[in-house]
Amino acid sequence: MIRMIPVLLFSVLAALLFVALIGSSDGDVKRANGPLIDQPMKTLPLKDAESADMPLTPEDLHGKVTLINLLASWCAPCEAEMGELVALKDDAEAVQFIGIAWNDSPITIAPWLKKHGDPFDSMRYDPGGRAAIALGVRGIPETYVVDAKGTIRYQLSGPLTEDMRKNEVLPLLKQLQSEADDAR
Amino acid sequence: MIPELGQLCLVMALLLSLLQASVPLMQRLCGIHRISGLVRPLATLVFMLIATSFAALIHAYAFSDFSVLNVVLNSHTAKPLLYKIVGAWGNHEGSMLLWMLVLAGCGFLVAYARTRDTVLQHATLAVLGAVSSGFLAFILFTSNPFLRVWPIPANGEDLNPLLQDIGLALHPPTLYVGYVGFGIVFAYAVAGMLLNRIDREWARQVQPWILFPWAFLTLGIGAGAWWAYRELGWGGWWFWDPVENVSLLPWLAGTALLHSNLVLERRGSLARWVALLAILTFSLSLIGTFIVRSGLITSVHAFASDPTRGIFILSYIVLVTGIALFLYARSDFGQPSRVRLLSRSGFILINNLLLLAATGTVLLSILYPLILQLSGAQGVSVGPQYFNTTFLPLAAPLALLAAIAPLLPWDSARRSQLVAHLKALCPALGVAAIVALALRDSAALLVMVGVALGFWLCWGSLRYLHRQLRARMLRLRQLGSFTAHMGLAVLILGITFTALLKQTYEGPITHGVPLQFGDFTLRLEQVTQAEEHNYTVRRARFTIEEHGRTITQLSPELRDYPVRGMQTTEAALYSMPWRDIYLVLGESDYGDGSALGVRLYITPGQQLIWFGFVLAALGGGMALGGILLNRHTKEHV
Repeated sequence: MIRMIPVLLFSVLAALLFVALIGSSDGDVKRANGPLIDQPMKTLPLKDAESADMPLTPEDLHGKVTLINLLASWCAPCEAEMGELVALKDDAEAVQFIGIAWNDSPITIAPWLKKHGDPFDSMRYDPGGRAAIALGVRGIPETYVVDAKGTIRYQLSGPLTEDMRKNEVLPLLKQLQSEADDAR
Repeated sequence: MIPELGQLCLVMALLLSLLQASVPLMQRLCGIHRISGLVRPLATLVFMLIATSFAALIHAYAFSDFSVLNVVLNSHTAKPLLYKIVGAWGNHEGSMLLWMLVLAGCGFLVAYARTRDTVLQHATLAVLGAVSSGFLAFILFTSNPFLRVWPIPANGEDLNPLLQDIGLALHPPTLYVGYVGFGIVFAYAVAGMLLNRIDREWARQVQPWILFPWAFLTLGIGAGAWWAYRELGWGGWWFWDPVENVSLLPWLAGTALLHSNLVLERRGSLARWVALLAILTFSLSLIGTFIVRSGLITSVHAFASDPTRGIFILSYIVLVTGIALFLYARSDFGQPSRVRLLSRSGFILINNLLLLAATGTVLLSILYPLILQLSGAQGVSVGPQYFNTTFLPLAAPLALLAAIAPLLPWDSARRSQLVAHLKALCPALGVAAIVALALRDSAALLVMVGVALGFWLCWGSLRYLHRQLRARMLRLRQLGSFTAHMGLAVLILGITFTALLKQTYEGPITHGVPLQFGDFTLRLEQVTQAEEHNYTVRRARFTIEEHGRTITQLSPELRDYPVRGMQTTEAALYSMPWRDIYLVLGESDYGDGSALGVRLYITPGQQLIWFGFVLAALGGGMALGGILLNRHTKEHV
């Protein structure tokens, strides 16, 4: 009988671990998306079309609801979402749209925007990827919505779909815009 | 293409492992005796396939192939090449593949180890095949490192500079070699029980396979402690953290196994006990890894994304350990031969029990918060107080006996012999008393106990060395055991000094006002603020003087990573032979900013700890070398 003691002890331990594992795993499956949500948008080192410094500063964002989109002309999903961004801009004209071209040049971006639509009020460039690193960008396209106080309220990795535009982003933009109008 | 090649290799390795596991079964069922030789080439093939697969993963990391999900999640183009490669095993999937690589490598070594007992060797390889196939299935079905991702992201996600440390790169593989190496002993034990031959010859064959992982585990634990000391900025090297404790479990059980197997080898007794310890050591490696990896304790999020993983690996552990323990219960180990208490064997047995009790207390410290959590209570963690009151009282007699045991004869000793040895060790107590008096510290009594233990073990080991030398019986193996015991003695001294004599200053330091602390004077020279690649850093330069003479300048840093939302401290360290100066920049300013918060630790004996770890591991390696050399020469005579 003494020989069975290790087996018994181990069974108790295994049962305990099973219960603990099943107990800990329910209700805890959370998407790890959007680590920057509710954090202030920081100053991003960017360039303008003439390669002069043109950082994105808190002053750029102050008092305005802003949508920031990272894109590139060589990026197929960016092309796919451009129509959605244009439609979004049409429905939320008061919102400031800023495009950041990642590892791309003004020479290729301009005709590309002409072809696929241009929703942006301002276009800036991140040639060395420093802004992308500062944001912890995993891949493009990537979209941020920043409220009038400069706080990031929405973050999307990957292309914007019609469903997301209608049900997530547009309602959020409208809500933030009315908050900003009330504050004024 | 290359990632697919890696995956294909894994699939083939799984199939071949299954074949390797079923060779003895086929032999039994079909009566074909010739195929037993098959296990050797199979083990070789499995190893080559897994090595190819691992190389494919390294390739994906080195060339930043972001079509592979694992690379996207754990790498970034801005990382230096070395850390890209090292990152391949810094994550769950990659580390599991490394685990498997080490296991297959050990299997390869077993297959080509020269032995007289090929039956046992082939059975061991079959058991290893079974262990491997379960693990390969786990990798392929729940932790596949070669999964592709679409659309291909522009860059990787991970630029965590905290993990960019060479210590962290080397520490997990060393630990893994330790964990997995005990898997070989486990396979030998299962094979031995199946064939009903756990005896002196078995012990002789297994001993190098115990020493090998033991030395690596010792080194791995030491490397982990060293990393924590340099990187975490808390001024300590061991925190009784669950992750650390988990590596301690197989080390304690493995140390017990190492010594009881000596008794089996010399005297032919304790076979049943050795078999149980062999199963226990590997199971503790598995359970420990599972508990940490599954995030049951440290973090709720580690595994949450995929609960099937946890269920799978736990089922695997239950299967592996359960079958082995069941076999153990059914096995006949022959008539147990008695071990006399007053002998080297007896002392080893007592120490075994102490080691196992210590393993139990550590295991309980990991499980207890889990049990409470299940019963609804929240937020319990077991603190150092628990270990000081349970672990240390068990560890102290361990050292006492370890000093005497090697001096006694294996079978039985006379009481007069024991008394003579005890008397001879008394000078150690005198040394301890002198040291304690010289220190005149408030903790003098505890220091005396620690120093006495350390010198006692040191003295006993030296006497053993002396005796072997005089009898011209000093082989490399004996020298190894002496070195390992000396390592433990040095470690005990180091622990005593760092734990009891550490001086800590926490508070402000002002520009132009020197801070007097102990024998040292600290001057704040300059504070600079700088913007780095992806963090901002505050750097402060200090001059350290000892008795009015400048000995060094230290520049601790405080880094702020906005992307990750975390702050890290880069401690500055100045090591002297006898003590370390350890300086950390505090998180806050004092008042108007003219003063800076600092934490200053002066830790005497810190070098002794690292030295102790290295000595112990070296001792294990020397004993291993001694055995292998001896075998080699025997075969050639």
